[in-house]
Parts: sequence; structure tokens; C-alpha cells
Amino acid sequence: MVIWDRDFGLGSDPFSDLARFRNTMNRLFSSAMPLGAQGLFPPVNVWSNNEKAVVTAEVPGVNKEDMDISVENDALTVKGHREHVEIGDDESFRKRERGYGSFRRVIGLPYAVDPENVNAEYKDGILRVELHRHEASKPRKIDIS
Amino acid sequence: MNEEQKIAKTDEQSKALQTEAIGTEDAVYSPQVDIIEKKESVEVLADMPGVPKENVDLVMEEGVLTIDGKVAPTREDDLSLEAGEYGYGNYHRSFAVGDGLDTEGIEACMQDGVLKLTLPKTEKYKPKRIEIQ
Repeated sequence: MVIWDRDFGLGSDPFSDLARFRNTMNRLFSSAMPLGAQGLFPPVNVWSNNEKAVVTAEVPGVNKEDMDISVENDALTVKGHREHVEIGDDESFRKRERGYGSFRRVIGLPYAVDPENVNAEYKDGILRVELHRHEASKPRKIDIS
Repeated sequence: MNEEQKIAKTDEQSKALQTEAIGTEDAVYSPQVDIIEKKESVEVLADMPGVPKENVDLVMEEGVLTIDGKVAPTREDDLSLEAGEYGYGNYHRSFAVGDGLDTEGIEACMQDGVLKLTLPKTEKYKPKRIEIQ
């Protein structure tokens, strides 16, 4: 083993009992985790005001082409796939923490949005979707006659 | 309290709630990594969503490789937070690198929020076939 994690405060001797124990534990748990095994994937933040809503999602390492976004009424659906890392016969995982696989999330929005007016961009592993409130769902002031 | 002050107060409260939900950029996260040992090198993949290439700092010092990634702020200033599932923060993790790797030859690239490091093995540590006489 030529590279090892320092963050658990172990000394630099990788062959100490404790390090060996940790390596064993790591091996036990190192089979790649499907996405979502550690919680909902992707995690999202939803922002809004009376006119528009913005949804951002953390989706590192996903190809833009492997993502599918759709809007219906007050729900945004994000579907996609993160390729798992392929390795050769003479290669091995020393650590495997990153998840992989397919994901699908339906995100509730505070109001119905216009499906014709949606902007999505993907940058540095963050998906950002901007949605605009549907005219029909905007509050209307009614005059008393 | 007049109307304007009231609005300012609510604004402050909502900002405080947001900070509670998603934190500030001062938070530090440990990126999830895959480490793959290959024949001639060791490859490290680290998830750092929200970090542009120019905000990644890699330092090799006394046998320790440290990864630092600074998130680009992605707050939506004119909007309020409805639901917060992930926090904002920077990434930090360090690894001890043994003699078997050539620290001069480390290659790094950043794509779609994933940092990829390639650490070539030194000649001594590359696998060699031994001929039977």
C-alpha cells in the first residue's frame, strides 16, 4: 500500500495494528455504494420567490448527456446515471467511497411552473435549474364590484 | 417598529434560517474518494461538486499530499431557501504518500466537480516479471 488516508490521525506507519484493522474494515465496506445508499441522491437546495424558483443539485462526475430533466405542474424530475469506475484485472480499489448507478428524484416546487420556460445548466458538478411561475398559478387580485 | 424595520427583521431571520440549513462557506467537508491501484500508477478520484478547476489547491509536503477545494458561491441572493439538503463549504483531505510513488510526476485534472490525480509509481515499485532460469 503506497498511499493512505491521514485524516484519522493515525501515525505514518501503515502496518500498525490499528491501520491493519482499519484496512480490514475498509475492505469490508469498500464494495461500491449504489447512489442514494447514504441518503437521497442527488441532494438538492430549492430557492424561490413569488416569480421564480431555482433548484440546485450536487451531481459530480455525471455527463450532461446522461441527465434528463422534466417539469410537470409543480414538480421537477431529475433522472440520470453515474458510470461506475471500470478497472482492469490487474488493478484494485484501495478505497471506494463514491457512489454510482442510476438516480431519479421528483422535487416539489412551491407552485406550478411554466414548462416552456425552464433553463438548466451544469457546471463543476452542480446542476442548476431555473423555473418560472406559471401565469395561471399567480395570485390575482379580485375587485369587489 | 415601522414596516421597513419589520421587513429588515424578517429578512435577517430568514437569512439566519438559511445559514442554519445550509451553513456558510466556512464549513469544511471531506471529499469522498476512490483510490485505484494500477500497474504503473495510483489514481485518486475525489468528488468536489461546486469547485471550479482554478479553486483547487494541491500541496505535497513532507510525504503528505493535501487537497483543498474552495467552492464557488452559488447562493441565490434574491430568493429565499425553501429546502436545503446540502451545505456549502470547502473540501479538505490529506493523504500520506509512500516512497513508492513519484511525487514529482503527479498529474491532476478537474472535470465536472471530480478531481483526478495520477501518481506514477517509482521504477522500484512497478511490477516486474521474474524469469525462471
